[in-house]
Amino acid sequence: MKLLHNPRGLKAAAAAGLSLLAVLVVAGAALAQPGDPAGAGAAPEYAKWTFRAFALLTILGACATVVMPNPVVAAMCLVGTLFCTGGIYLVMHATFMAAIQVLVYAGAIMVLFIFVVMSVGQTENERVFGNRSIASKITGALAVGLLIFVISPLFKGPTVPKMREVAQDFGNVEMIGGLLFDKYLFPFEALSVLLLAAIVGAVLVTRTPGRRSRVDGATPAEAHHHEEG
Amino acid sequence: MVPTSEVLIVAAALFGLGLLGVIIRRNVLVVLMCVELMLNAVNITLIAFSRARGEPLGQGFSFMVIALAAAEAAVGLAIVVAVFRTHKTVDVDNINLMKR
Repeated sequence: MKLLHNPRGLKAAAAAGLSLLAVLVVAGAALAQPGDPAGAGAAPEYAKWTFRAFALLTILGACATVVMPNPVVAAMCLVGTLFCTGGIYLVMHATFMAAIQVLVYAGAIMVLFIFVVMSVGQTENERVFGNRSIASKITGALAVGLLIFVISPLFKGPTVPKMREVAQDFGNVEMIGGLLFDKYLFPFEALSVLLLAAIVGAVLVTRTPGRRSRVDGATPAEAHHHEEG
Repeated sequence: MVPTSEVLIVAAALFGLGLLGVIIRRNVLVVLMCVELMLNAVNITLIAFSRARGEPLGQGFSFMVIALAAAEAAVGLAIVVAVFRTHKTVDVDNINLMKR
């Protein structure tokens, strides 16, 4: 934790992340090599190990997001996590969703997050562990225990459907677009209305500080003056 | 071929980490980031079952989840900015607007 409080630690962390990514690329290339001449035979193995590498990076990034005391560092770790999640989508043949994940999630939404973290300016470190009440610690432990209980059947045997071979165009833009604009047009349009409402709401909530009856009975000018002082 | 159970375990672990973050973190911005983590875990599950069943519906649904996450992030962060302007804090323990 102490390591990431100074710029040198940040640089070291960035270098570690980049080297991890380089290892991943090299390992992926090495695994892909035998698959190429053999054709489809080694491809499933390659997909499996690529998935495992991305899954490891995703979990590590999520742990870092939860644990890092500095919100900026946590946001950067979350960017990495979302990027690796895009990799998992790609392994599962969801090419369009992988592109959307990287563009919208790791791009737009995280830029919004970092923008707000910077503009709020509360980038001092928080003590992540130790300052919570005993009740929330128990709740956290219970939540994690319950989750382990729920997923425990997965470790025992094949109770879930196996992934099957899909067509080459499974999950591309054409397929998802056809689904969204044909059969599920109404939810799609409702979603666009929701997004519009969210934009209007966000602008309304953040607009003109102090004018919204923070001091009861104050004129807008007075409230503005109060805000300045 | 990726085993479906492994994907589901990873998604569950991601969801659990997000939940843990929501519970133990005090900075409201980090809490929102952990909510994003949980939404991502749901997306992974949807896409895994979409692939297992060979139907693209799960991917369409996870597309809608991403759009919802964008709306949630926009409104949530707007509320954080508005609260910070009046209260000068982003600590969830100090934000009690309703309590007067």
